[in-house]
Amino acid sequence: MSQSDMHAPGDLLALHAMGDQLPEAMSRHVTACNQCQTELSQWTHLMAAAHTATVDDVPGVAPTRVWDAIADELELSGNSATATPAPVLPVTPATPPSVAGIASARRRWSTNWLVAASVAGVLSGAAVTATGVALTNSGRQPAPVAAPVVVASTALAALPDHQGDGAAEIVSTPEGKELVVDVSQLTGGDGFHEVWLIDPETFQMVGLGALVNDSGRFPIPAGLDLRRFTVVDVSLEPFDGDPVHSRDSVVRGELST
Amino acid sequence: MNPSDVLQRAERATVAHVSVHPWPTTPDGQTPWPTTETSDAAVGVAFADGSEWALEEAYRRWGALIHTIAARSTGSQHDADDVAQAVFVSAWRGRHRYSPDQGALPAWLLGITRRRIADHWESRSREQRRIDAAGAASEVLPASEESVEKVANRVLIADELSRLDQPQRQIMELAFFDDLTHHQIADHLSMPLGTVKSHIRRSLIRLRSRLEVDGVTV
Repeated sequence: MSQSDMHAPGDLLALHAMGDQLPEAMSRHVTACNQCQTELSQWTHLMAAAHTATVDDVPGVAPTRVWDAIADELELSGNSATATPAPVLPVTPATPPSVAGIASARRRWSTNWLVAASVAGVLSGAAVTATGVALTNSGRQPAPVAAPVVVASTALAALPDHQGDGAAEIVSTPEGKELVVDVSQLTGGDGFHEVWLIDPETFQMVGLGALVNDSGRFPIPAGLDLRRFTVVDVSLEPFDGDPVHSRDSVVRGELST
Repeated sequence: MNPSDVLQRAERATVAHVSVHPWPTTPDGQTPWPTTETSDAAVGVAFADGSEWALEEAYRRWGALIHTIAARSTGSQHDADDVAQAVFVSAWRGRHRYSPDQGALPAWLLGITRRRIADHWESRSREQRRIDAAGAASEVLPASEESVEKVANRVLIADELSRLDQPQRQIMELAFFDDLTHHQIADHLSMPLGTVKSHIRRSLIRLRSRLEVDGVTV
C-alpha cells in the first residue's frame, strides 16, 4: 500500500491542524479522503477552542460556600446509612479511643463502603473518606467536648500491588497528640512495618516508629505541623539499618479534621 | 542484623521525632507517589446509588470546573455560585435519571450545567422584558447555547492542560495560551524541535481522549 492510500495518523492530522505541513503524498490523500477530512476538521475545532483558552479559564478550587449552600438546601444528613465511611470514626468518643474501638469502627466502615464500592470493584476509598469528613463536618457538627479528642482521622487503603486496610486517628490528650494506627492483613515480607507522616506537597516525612501486631500509638512531636504532614503512610522496611523510607508503601490515607 | 544496624535503628528511634526526611527519589529523579484515589466511575456508581459521599466527592472533583464555566459564562461570581448550587442540587434530586452505563458523571453534570446557564439567561431576559415597557424583544440577549458550549469547551481544555505533567504542560500552555509556534517553543525552552513536537503530539491525543470522556463535542 503506498502512502497516498493510507489514512493519515490522527496525531499527524493534529499537528497539521496546528500548522505543520503534511508529507506531500499524505497531503494529497487527506484532501481527497472524507474520513481524514472529518478527523482534520475535529482537530481544527479543538485547536480553535484551545487557542481561545486563557489562564483565567483554568478552574481553581470549588468554593466551600457553595458546598455549604448545597448541603443546606438538600438537608444532607452527613451520616446517613447509605453514605460514607467518614463519620463512623467517632468525632467525640465517650471514652478514650482504644485500638479495639478503632478496629470495630473500621469494620463498620468497611461494610458500608463495600456496599458502594463493590459495585465498581473499587476497594480503596481513602481520598473519598477524607473529603467526606472535610465537607460534611464543615460547621454542622457540634465541637468536641470530651478529652481525649479525635482531631483528625482517615481510613488507610492499600496501594497498588499491596494488601491490607486500616484506620488512623490523631487524638489529643493532656500529654500531647498521638497517632493511633490500626491495620489488618498488611502485605508482609522480610522486614517490618513502619509508620510515617508525610507532607504531600514537599514529600518530606517523619518516621514515627515500628508498627507491631497491627496496632500502635505514636506520640507526635510537639511542633510538628499537622496541617502539612497530613498523609499517614505505613511502609514495609527491610532490616537494612537505613533510616530512610523504603519507598515500599503498603497502606496510606490522608488525615482530615 | 549486625551491630551497626542495631545502632542505627536505635539512633533512629531517638531522633525520628525530630528528623524530617525528604521522600526518596528513584534513580531517574522521579518521585514515586502511588495514589489511592477512587476512580471517577466508582464515584458515578455511588452517586447513582444515592450515597451522599459521592455527591461530596463529585463536588470536590467537578465543582470548580462547573463553577468556572458558570462564572465565565455569566460574568459574575455571585451568579456562578447560584448556577453551581442549582446544578448539584438538581443533579442530586434527579440522580435516578443518571445511568453510569451511559456516560461519565462529569459529562452528565456538564449537561445540567449548560441547561442551568441557559435558564439563568432566560430568566435575565424575562426580567429585561418586564422592565421593557414596550415588551419588545430585549437587547440583552442571552448567550446562545453555542456560546455556553464554547465557554465550556474552553474551560475544559484549560482544565485538561493544567493537569498535564511537565514539560508537556508548559509546552502546551506556550502553544495555546501564548500562541507560540512549535519553533518558538523549541527556542524558548532550548529543546529540540522534534522533542517539542512529540510532546505536543502525545498531549493532544491525551487531551482529546479526556475531552471525549467529558462529553465535549469538538
